[in-house]
Amino acid sequence: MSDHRDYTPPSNIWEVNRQLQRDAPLAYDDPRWVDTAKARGEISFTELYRQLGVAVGDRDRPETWRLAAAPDVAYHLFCGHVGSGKSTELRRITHRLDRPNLFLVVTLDAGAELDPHNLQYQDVLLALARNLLADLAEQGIEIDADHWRQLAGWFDERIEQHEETRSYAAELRAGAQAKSGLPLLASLFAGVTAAIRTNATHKETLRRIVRNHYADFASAFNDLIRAAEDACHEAGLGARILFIVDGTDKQRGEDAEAFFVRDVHQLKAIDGIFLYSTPIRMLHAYGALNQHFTGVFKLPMIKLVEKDGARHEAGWAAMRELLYRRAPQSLFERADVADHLIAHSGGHPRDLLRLLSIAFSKATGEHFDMPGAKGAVAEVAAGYRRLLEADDYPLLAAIDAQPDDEHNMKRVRELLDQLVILEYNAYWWRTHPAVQTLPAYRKQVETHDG
Amino acid sequence: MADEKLPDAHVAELGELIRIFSGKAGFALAYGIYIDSAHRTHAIGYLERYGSQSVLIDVKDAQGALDRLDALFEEAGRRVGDRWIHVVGLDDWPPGQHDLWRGLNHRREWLATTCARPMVLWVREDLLRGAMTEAFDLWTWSEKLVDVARAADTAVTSRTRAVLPSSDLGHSPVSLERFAHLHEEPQTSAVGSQSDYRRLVDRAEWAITQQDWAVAEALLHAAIDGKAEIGDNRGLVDAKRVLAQLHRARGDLDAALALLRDDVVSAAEAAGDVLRVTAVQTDIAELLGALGRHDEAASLLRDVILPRHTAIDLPTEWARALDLLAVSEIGIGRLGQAAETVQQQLDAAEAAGNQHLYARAMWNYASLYKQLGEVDRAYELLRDVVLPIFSKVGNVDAAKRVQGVLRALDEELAEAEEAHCDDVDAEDAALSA
Repeated sequence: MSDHRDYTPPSNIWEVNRQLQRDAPLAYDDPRWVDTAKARGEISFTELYRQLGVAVGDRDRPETWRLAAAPDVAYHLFCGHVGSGKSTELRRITHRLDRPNLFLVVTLDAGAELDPHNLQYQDVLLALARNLLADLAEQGIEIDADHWRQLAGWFDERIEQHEETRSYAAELRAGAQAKSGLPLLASLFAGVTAAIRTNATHKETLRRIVRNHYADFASAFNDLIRAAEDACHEAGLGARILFIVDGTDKQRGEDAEAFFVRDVHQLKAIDGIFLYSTPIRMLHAYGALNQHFTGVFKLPMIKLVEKDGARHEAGWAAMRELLYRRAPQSLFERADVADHLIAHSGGHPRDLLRLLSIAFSKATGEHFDMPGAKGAVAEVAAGYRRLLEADDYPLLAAIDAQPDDEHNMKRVRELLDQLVILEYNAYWWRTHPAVQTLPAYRKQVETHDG
Repeated sequence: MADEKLPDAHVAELGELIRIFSGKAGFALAYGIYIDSAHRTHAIGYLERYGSQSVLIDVKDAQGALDRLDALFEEAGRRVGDRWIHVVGLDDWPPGQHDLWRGLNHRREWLATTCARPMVLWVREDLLRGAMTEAFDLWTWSEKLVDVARAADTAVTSRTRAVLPSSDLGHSPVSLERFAHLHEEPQTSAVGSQSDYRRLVDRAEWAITQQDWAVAEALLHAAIDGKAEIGDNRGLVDAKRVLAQLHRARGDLDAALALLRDDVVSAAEAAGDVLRVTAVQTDIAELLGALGRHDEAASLLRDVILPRHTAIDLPTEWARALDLLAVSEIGIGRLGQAAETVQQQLDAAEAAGNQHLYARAMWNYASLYKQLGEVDRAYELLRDVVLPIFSKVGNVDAAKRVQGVLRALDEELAEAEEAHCDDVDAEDAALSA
C-alpha cells in the first residue's frame, strides 16, 4: 500500500513523476483518492452493502450505519478490469465496514501474503484462518477453548502427526513455546501459511492434507468462526465477521478456473460472509458463477461518454480530479493537454497515470505539453497494437458500431482482459480510445462506415 | 560503453526512460525490447553512463525453477542500493515460458517490495507479446516500453535513407531490423542480387558505427564491385556514399571529398536520379564546410543545391541545406545574409517538425550573436534552448559539442569581466594620480 502520510501535492512535473505509483493501491484515507461512484455511471456501493445486510444511513458517515440483517452465509465476487481501482475500493470498503456496529473485517491480500502463482483454495482458507486467529489474538479476544480445540486438534492430528510434516510442525511449536491458547494456534497457522508461501516441498503436502481431510478442517474452521463472531459481538468489535480477499483476481486461465469454478464448493463449505476479488474475464467465461456465488459486484470503468456517444460529465470531473490530485492543473501548459490525456485513457485510472508518466518523459519544458501528451498516446497505442491481430480490427469496429450485436465472445473476453476493450456500466463495451488512434482501426471504421 | 553505437532514435528512447527513472525512490518498471543482444548491451551501457549504475540479473540459469528466480531477485534486492536493475536472460527460458511470465505476474507485489528500485525487463521483440499476455497485470505497471529493436517512427525506408546525408548532425536513424544478422561473419564473396549487395552496405554501415574500419571497407568494396557488375547504378551511388562516410569517420576528409566530387556525383547524374545528385552535393558542401572552405560551400549550396530543392519535396533536406549555408555564411562573415538564412532555416525546421534542426537553427542564431559581440545572449540561447533540446532528443554528441562551446564562452565571458575590472582599476589609478 502506498504510504501517503507524508504526501504533499507536487509543485513541479519532476515531483509528479517521483510520486507517481501505479503498483500500489491507495489507502482508505489517501488524499489522492477520488469518489468515482457517479463517474462510473451511478454505480452504488450501497447495493453491495445492502447485500451484506447493512442498512446505510448517511452515506458519508458509516458510523450511522447498522447491520440490519446480515446473511448467515454469503459469497460475493468483486470484479473489474485490471487497474480499474478494485484494490483501492476494497480498502475503502474495509474501512467503512470494519466498525463495532457492523463487522470485524478480516482481510487477506493473496498477492502479498501468499504465493499467488498457482494459488489454490487450501492456501486461501488456511491464510484466512491464520488472519482470523491473529486478529483475535491481537484484540485480546477470549474464546472458549471448546470452540477452537477442534481446529487445534485438526492441526495436531493432521499436521503434527503426519510423517511428512511432523518435524516442520515440531519446529513451529518450538518456536512458539512461550505462547498458549489462541496466540499459540495463531502462531502455528502463521507457520503453515509461511510454508505454503515459501516452501515448495511442504506446500504440496499441506495442500494434500487439507484436501484429504477437508471436511474436518471446514468443520473446525466453521466452529471457530461462529465462536469468534459471538465473542466479537460481545466485545463490541463487530456484529459479524466479514472476510475480504484481494489478489485472487490476479489469477489467469486454468488457475482462475480452478479457484472460482472447480473448487467453488470447497470455498462455500466455510460458513461465513466472504468477498473475493475476481478477474472480469471469469464472469464472461462462466455464466454459472452467478449461480454459485451469492452476488457479483462489478466495478465498471469510469465513463467518459455514454453508450450513445454523449459526453458523461461526471466521468470527466472525476478523471480531472484524479489527475489534478497527482499533477496540479497549473503544471499543464493548457487545459486541453490534461483533457487529451483523459480522453485517451478511456476512463481507466491506471492508464491515465501511464499516459501522464510518458507525457512527463516527453515534455520539453517545465509543464506537461501537447506534443508530450500526443506522444504519450501514440506510445500507449503502440503497446496495445502489439496485442492485436489483423482480425481484431474488424471485430473492434463492429463492436463500436453495433455494441448490441453478437460478437466473437472468445476473443472479446481476451480483449476485455487485456483492456483493448473497456467495459462500462449497464455493461456495454467500447474500444480503448488509444487503440482507436491506430491507423488499422481507423481504416476499418472507415470501411465499416463506408 | 559507447553511446556513439546507438542510433538517435534509441538514444531518445533511453533518454525518456532516464527521465522517468531518475526521480524514482522505489520500484518502477519498464520493458526493453531488442533484436540483437548487442543492442541491449549498448542500451544498458548507455543507461549506466547517463542514468544510474545497475545490478544485472541474468535469469537464464533459473530455467523452470521459480524458487531460483525468487532467490535471484532477493539477492539483487539486497545488493541494489540506489542502483537500477536490469533483468536479462528471460528469452532463454523454454518456448511458451508460461510459468516464467505467470510467475512474475503473480509475484509482482513481492517483486516491487523485494527489488524496490527501477527495473527494466529486457525481452526479445518476438517474445514481447507472450510476455504481455501472460503477465498482463505486470505489464500494466510498466512506465515505458523502451524499443531498441528498431528506430520506431523515425525509421526511414531504404529508398529515402539512400538520399539522406551521412550527417554530422547525429547518426541517421536506421532500421535495425536490417542489422539483425550482423553477428554473422562478414561474407564478402560475390553474391548476386541487389538485396544481397544492399545487405553488405547495411553491414558496412554498422561496422562503421562500431569503428571496425577494415571490416567496413572490405564489405563496401565487395558491394561496390558487385553492384558495378550487375549494373545497379543507384545502388553503386549509395555504396560509394557510405565509403565516403567511412573516409570521413577515419578522419580523411580530403579522400571523402575527392570520392564524392570526382566519382559519386557523376555516377548519380548518370543514374538520372535528382534526389541522389542533390544528396551527394549536400554531402560535398558539408565536407567543404568541415574543411573550412566556406566560400565554396556557400556557392554550391546557394547556386546549385537550394534551387534544386524548389523542384523536390524533402523538407528535412531543405532545412539541412539551409543549416549548412548559414554555417558557411557565418564562417565567412556574411552576417546579414546569414541572419536571413537562419530565419528560413527556422521556418523549414518548424515545417518539417524536426526538433533537431530547430535546435541547429537556434545554435546558428547563437553563433550570430557571438559574432556580433553579444556573448551573453549567445550563451543563454545555447544553455536555455539548444542544450535542452539536444538532451531531450537524445543527441549526446551534439549536446557534448554545445557544452564545449558553452565552456569556451564561459571562459570568454570571464576574461572579458577580468579585463573590464583591470580597466576600471587602471582608470581609478589614473584618477588617483
